[in-house]
Amino acid sequence: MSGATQYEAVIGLEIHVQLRTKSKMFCRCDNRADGAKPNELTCPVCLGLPGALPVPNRTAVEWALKVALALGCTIPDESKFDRKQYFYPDLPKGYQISQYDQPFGGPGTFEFDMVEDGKPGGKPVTKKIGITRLHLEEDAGKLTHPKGADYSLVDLNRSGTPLAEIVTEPDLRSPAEAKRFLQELRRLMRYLGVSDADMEKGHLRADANVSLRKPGEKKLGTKTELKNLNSFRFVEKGLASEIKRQTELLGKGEKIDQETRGFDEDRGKTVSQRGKEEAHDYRYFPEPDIPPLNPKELNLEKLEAETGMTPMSYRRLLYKDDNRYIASQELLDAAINSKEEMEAIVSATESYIGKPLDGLVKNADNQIRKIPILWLSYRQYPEFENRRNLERLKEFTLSIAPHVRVIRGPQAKVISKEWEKSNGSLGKIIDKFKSSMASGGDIEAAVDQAIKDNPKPAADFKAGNVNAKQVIVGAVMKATKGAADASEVAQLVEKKLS
Amino acid sequence: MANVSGSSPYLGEVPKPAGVTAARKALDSGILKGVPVAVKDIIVTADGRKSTAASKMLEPYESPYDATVVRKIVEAGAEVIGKTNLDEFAMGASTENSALGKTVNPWDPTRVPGGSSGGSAAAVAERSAPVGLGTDTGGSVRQPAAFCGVVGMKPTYGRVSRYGLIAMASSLDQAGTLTTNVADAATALGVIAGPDPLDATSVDRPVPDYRKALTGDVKGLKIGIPKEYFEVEGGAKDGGVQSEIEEAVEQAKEDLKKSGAEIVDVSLPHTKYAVSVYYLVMPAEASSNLARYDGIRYGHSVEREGSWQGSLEDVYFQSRAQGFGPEVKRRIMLGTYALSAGYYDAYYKKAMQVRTLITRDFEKAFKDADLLLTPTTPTTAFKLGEKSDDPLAMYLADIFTVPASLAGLPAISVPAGFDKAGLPIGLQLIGQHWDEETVLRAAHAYEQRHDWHVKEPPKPKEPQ
Repeated sequence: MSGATQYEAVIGLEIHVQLRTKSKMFCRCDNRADGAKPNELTCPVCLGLPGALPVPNRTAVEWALKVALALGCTIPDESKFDRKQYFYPDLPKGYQISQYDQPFGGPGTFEFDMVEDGKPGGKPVTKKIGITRLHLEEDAGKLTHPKGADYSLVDLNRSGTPLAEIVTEPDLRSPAEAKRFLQELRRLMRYLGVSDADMEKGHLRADANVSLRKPGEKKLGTKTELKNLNSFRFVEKGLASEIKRQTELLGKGEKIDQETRGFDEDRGKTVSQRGKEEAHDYRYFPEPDIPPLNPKELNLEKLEAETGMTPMSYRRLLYKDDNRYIASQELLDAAINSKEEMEAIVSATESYIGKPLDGLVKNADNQIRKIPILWLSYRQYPEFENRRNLERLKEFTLSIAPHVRVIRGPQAKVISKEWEKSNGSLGKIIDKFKSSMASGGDIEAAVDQAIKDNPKPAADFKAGNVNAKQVIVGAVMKATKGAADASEVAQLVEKKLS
Repeated sequence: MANVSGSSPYLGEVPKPAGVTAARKALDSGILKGVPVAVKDIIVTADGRKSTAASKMLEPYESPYDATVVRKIVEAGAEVIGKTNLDEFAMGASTENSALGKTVNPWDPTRVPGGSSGGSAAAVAERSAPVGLGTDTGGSVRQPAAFCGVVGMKPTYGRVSRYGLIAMASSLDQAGTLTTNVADAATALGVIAGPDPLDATSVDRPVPDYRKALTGDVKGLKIGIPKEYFEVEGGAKDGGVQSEIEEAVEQAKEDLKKSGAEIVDVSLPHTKYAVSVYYLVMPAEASSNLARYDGIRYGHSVEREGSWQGSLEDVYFQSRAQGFGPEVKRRIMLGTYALSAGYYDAYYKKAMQVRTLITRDFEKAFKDADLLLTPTTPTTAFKLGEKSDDPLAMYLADIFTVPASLAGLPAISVPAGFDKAGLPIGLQLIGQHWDEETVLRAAHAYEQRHDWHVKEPPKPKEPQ
């Protein structure tokens, strides 16, 4: 009996993103802790020494607002910090400065694309995920437990690193969707330049709330909280195994306990960490050391303008007419991962169509898509693998674009290789190539020869098998060493055989 | 200048008598150059002295940095001559809650100096330092000033940086000065006031020349008498304000009238809730501020005592059980309770709402008056041990000083004579936000009509 189709998974995420500001959230200590000696980047404030006071980092506040805006959050008139109180050795003040009931970002909606069935060239489906809130807080220090030792070590370099916490509505329906959302979020953070968002390095950390319900039901089932899903792989595997566990329990008529669980990779399943009854009372109260602030006084228009194009808006440029991607999702993601590259694509497109792209992206026509399509194909050539060659890739794409009817993929590849080798003028290489192209007479002779050499496909075509002509076209292309326009060849073959 | 009884205003080393004449000269010309300053030991210093908050918890603690107020006075040429005693973490009104020393009232060694800045007040009263720095959360500068016969000035909340003040209640704590006269208060305040990039609650406003405000002229100044301050119960043992203090207020009204001020009646109807509100807000914030003393990084720790074995929780429980005194524990428990789930709305939130009402009372009163005149305390200095076992009675010693703290208003206590037992009486003047100038001007004009501020307590006998 398969339980998998009996229930619908309901997933909400809580994500912490470390902001890569120069200094920490509430003091002037260096925030880039990578490579520093333990406790080297600390001061009275982030050590929680007597008498020290927090002063909020303006850049961190602005970046949190930028992220909130990009996630479609509403921005309140008044926001404040609160203290979240608990004892732990990595928390020097005995409380974390966080935000409780007046966060910087209120409810919003975030859209991202994914190919539903995951197949290349599949139709992208736009997912809308409710964002419950975004708030700003400080990170705690890092504890290490040396093997066999009866003590633990505390490193407070990370203490006070700004964290944006993003909470989603339970709008995600599968582990793949959750993973895709997180990947899109990582991309967004990198676009905004606010975080490296590297999950393996802990820049982006996710917890998930998971419950099951019968499809069509409105009411949510009892949820479990899955902690520390610290890689995309973990997100997918952890959620899948928790959904499987809950499905089996419900299948047996058992109840789900509301609890905190962790994913144990070795055992390939989730394990209970803390029951509901052990839940903390954090005794939140307004942080008296920091006056409330009005985010709208921080020039939101400027922050929004600085945000620019998001990964999602670039993605829209790359749909075909039937709302399919112009390339595989993987290829698209690879390009979209680099904001610099997307900016280069836009700039190449603008120079090709001779006008700015503003406002055109949502309804991009074939003319506008020509450059992005070519770009995505050329970017795979070994000569452009190094992404620092964006300028060369741009020159190449713009130079080939007027000749694509003649210079098809294989030829372009040859030209690219020659350009790289000779380091000469690309225009001259193209001219030389075009003049060496097989002339009309040569092609006709080659077609005749190919029909002669391939009697069976020729007969099949005549009998109505349209695809059979490809064999003949292929033979012609081979004979002319690619120096012919494949579509012209195909037309000629059809004419000869009709 | 240690007392025969083994008590002292200071913790740690007792300073040698300083060059009083030179200091007097500097102060009279309005500067702090060469002036010895006694600093309450809740204000951190990086001068090799300990910064203990008079707590066993911080007995061995040395701060790696100076509080902003300390940096400012040192930059002005003053010299920190000693760290003074206080109630542990500034929690108390008698300095008896100190875990590290005993301080008595210089006017009567059987009585308390007040608190929590009792050490700084006593140091200034005994003339071992002409200027003392204190902190005032609910009256901790003004009340000991009144008990010791000196001037205690608490500026507007946000006027002086709190950076380096070991926090008790962050929304109430404010550094203040203890001096023998109002002019010195003006000088010292001028040095420590001003915005600080290290304190987000300090406010960027220009600091006026406070000494220029001391014109002696109070003509036309409207001084309000809040009637509720004379209707309070439980202020003294007999259930009211000590009669000599009421008489002092009457006398002050006459004095100020003679100087040209106008006396008006005002009402602060929510006064009766002030102490209750204060004893919810303050412990709530204190319980949070004191969470950092957990025996992990610094201060008292059972773990660092060597023989210890146990869990992480034991480190917390035992370090805190041993490191904190009873009053500190009492306030941590009160505050933790007030902030707990299910109680927050009924206690902390409600208290903050009433705090707003108390602030509005003052705003209304200041439509009719420029300044308010009240007693600083319901009684003069009480006996050592008299209220030690009765925390509620001790809390009521703050009854007149707490409202201005809740509203963040500037207030001063000035000497107003002596009771029959020869103990100093203090009067309080409360001003509008940021208007320390009017407070100082009126206090100075009143002070100049008498010679109380030049009276010195009897010299204690030198130890054998």
